[in-house]
Amino acid sequence: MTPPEVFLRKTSGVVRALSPFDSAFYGFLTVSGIGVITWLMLPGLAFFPGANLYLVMILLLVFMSIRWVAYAMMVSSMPRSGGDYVFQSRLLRGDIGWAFTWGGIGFWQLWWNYIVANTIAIGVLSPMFEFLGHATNNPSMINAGIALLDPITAAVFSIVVVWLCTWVMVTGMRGYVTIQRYILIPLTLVSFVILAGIFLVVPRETFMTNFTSFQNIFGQVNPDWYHAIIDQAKELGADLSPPFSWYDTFGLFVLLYGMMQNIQYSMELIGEMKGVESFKTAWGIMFGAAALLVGSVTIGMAWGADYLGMEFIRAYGYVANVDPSSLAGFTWRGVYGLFTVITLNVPIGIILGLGWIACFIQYEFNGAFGAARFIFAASFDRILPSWMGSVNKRGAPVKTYIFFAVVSSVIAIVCTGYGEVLGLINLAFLAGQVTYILTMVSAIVFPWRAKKLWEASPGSKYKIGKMPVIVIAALFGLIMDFIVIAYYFTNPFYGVLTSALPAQLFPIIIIVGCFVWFYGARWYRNREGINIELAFKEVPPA
Amino acid sequence: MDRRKDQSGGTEFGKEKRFTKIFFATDAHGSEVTFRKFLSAGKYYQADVVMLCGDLTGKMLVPIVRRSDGGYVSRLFGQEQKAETELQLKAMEEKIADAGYYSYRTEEDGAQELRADPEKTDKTLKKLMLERLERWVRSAEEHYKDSGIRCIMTGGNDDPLEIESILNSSGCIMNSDGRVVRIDDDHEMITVGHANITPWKCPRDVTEEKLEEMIENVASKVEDIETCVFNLHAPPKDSKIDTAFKLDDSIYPPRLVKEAGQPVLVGVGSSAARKAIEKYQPQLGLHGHIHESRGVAKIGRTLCVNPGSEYGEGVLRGAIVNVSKAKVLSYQLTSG
Repeated sequence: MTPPEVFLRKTSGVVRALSPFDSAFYGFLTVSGIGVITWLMLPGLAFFPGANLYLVMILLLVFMSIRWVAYAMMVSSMPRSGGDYVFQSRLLRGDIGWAFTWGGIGFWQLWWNYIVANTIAIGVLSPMFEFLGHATNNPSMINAGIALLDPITAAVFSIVVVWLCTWVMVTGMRGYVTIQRYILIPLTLVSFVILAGIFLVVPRETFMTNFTSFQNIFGQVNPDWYHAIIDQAKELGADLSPPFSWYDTFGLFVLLYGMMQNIQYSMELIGEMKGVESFKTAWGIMFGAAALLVGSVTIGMAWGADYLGMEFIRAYGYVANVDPSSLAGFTWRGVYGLFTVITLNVPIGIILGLGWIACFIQYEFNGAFGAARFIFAASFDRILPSWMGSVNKRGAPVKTYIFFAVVSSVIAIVCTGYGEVLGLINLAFLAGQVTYILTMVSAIVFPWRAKKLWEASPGSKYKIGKMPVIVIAALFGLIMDFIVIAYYFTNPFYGVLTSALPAQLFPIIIIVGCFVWFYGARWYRNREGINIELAFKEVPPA
Repeated sequence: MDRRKDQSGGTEFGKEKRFTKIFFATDAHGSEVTFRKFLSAGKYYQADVVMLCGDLTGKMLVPIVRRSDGGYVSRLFGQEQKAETELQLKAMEEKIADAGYYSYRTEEDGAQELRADPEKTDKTLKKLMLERLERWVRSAEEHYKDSGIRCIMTGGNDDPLEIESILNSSGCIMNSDGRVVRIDDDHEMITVGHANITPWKCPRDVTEEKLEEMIENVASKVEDIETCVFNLHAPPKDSKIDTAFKLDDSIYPPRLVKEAGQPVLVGVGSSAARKAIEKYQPQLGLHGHIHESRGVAKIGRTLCVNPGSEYGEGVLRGAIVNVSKAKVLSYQLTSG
């Protein structure tokens, strides 16, 4: 029997803007394969040489898909902008929700804004100019590339990029989305298509020859840089052809897991996404983003490493990270630098470079958008001043964006003067992980802590035995999270163990500071006759 | 008005303060669980006045069809739902009611009849809407009678005019629509549940001119406009608490308008409401209508609040506003 139809009368209703397709793409761009490849390919493959990258990709997709069942069920029952903050503050406590989502994720976006802009300067533009100078025999371009490596130049460039992006954002979402749709997405996709084409048609020997000629422009001439780097890595003790290792596979998995979890970060915008009241759609959006991500990382990282030579990639990453000065004339120019010299073709190098820049510019926007959603939600809850939740005529929270840009600029200056604080970024992953653990805990307690809300949600009908599926999926996610934490605390590669004590304390200080702010705000609002705790509590139905 | 400390024990700058605590919610749209939360809200938030204003009735009729084998089947959230036992059937009906919809037990023939006869569907839906509202009013009477909490319930642009007689039938629950009422010793309140015309052409959609006239009629009767509360279902135009996506209403259902591939955000509030607030500068504006545009805005000296609505998720969105004779002391948006 066909289920009967329903009858809807003419009444007003909520309209959401981002289609599931746009939302999935937004999620993909929040992480984007190019960022993963740029930051993680070389160190990841060098320090987990026994990992099977293709297996890592499959594991990520499978494990995340299960974890996201819990996440999607929360999304579909509370489809409000602010995502993790909303879940934790409503299902755990207001102070926990604020302190861990802002102190564990939001604040670090301002940090990432600097890191990303800095990566554009030193990881893309610098090698791009050097490559162009080399390909066109123009020494002044090579010098321009080298000049960008100067920390002060890179910092100034970073600050300019941060403020340019802020300017775009204050003109409203439309300006940004137009750029995303017509510039950022096409450039990112074209980059991957070009890369795949290069891997298919250009023989590795061409890369080896071109790589040597490129490295030679930096002064130290070597007839075969490719093999010189491999030999040097071996001399430094690297194991470049180890057998398959589950430990290394999970080690690399943990590294990529930290990045991939940021697909959840895109869901801070759930209040603007269509169809997320259905848990299947919410899950589909995250899975779609993950599938795009895994596909792009498989092309760039797995296929790319196979193409360039796994032994060489491991060696390059190892020498660069362990002792770059041990090989005279060795000059690290990152993954973009490696890919762009495969052909030494100027248009291809420029398009790839623009694709790389497009990806990193995307990070600038996404970081601010997600963090602004936390600020909105906390401002509505009266934890933050109301001006932080106010928007201009174009719907952009100008004051919040300017506040973000100021903080990111200060971070750029601090990082330039004290380069060692860049190591804090290792701790950022840990802080984010703790936040996501608390989101999983929120999912586990959901059916009991907000009984009525849960019963009204589309996910409540899914059970295994008598246990709600959300609890099982969240427990599974929690186990994965604890494996990640275990790696962080037992393997020095992740930087948690090796960071200086002040760096280790910094995330704790930020989170404790957020708790202090919360209780300060509560005290202040109490004086006004307002109990901010009431914003988080479900009223028991009569 | 009470002379007391607020529930958190707070005092204003060290002195005991005098204020009225208003709890304002809107756009419940027939959701049973949201309404039952509203019943608890007065005590829970320790309010002096509770208001559920605008769009009390739901939007959808959900037939539950009896199968030949004795079981029942319906469609909810786009998915087929089955009930084999009376207990499961009750749970299904409860779920439908919590979402703000109206369940209707019928046979296969009855469902076909509804499909074929829109007039019968409308009649059935209206009957169920009025029945539920009648029950709500009686429950509210029970809860708020002798509680010391004043309870106000009014309709909005989505509500048929037939609900007025039900709202007016209570001696305890106040229907303030189209009138000046006192919410405490110091504050009068005017209410207009009608709204400017929407793409859905709802029962109480009127032109801006008509709306201006309606507001003007009631505002002109206020004794002390400076302490007055304007409870206008439609928020003031371009106030940032009226932001929604622009829709093309030349077709039904209305379609999202996109420019350069992007949905266009516009202020869809009422210019008549804005004009009235700018002209009279009341102490407080209480609004609803645009569920997704929850927030607070200042227009001159007037604080305008739209608590938004999430009735479909069973969430009681509301606003607590503490008002003294002189000013709005503080506010808090809630998601209960």
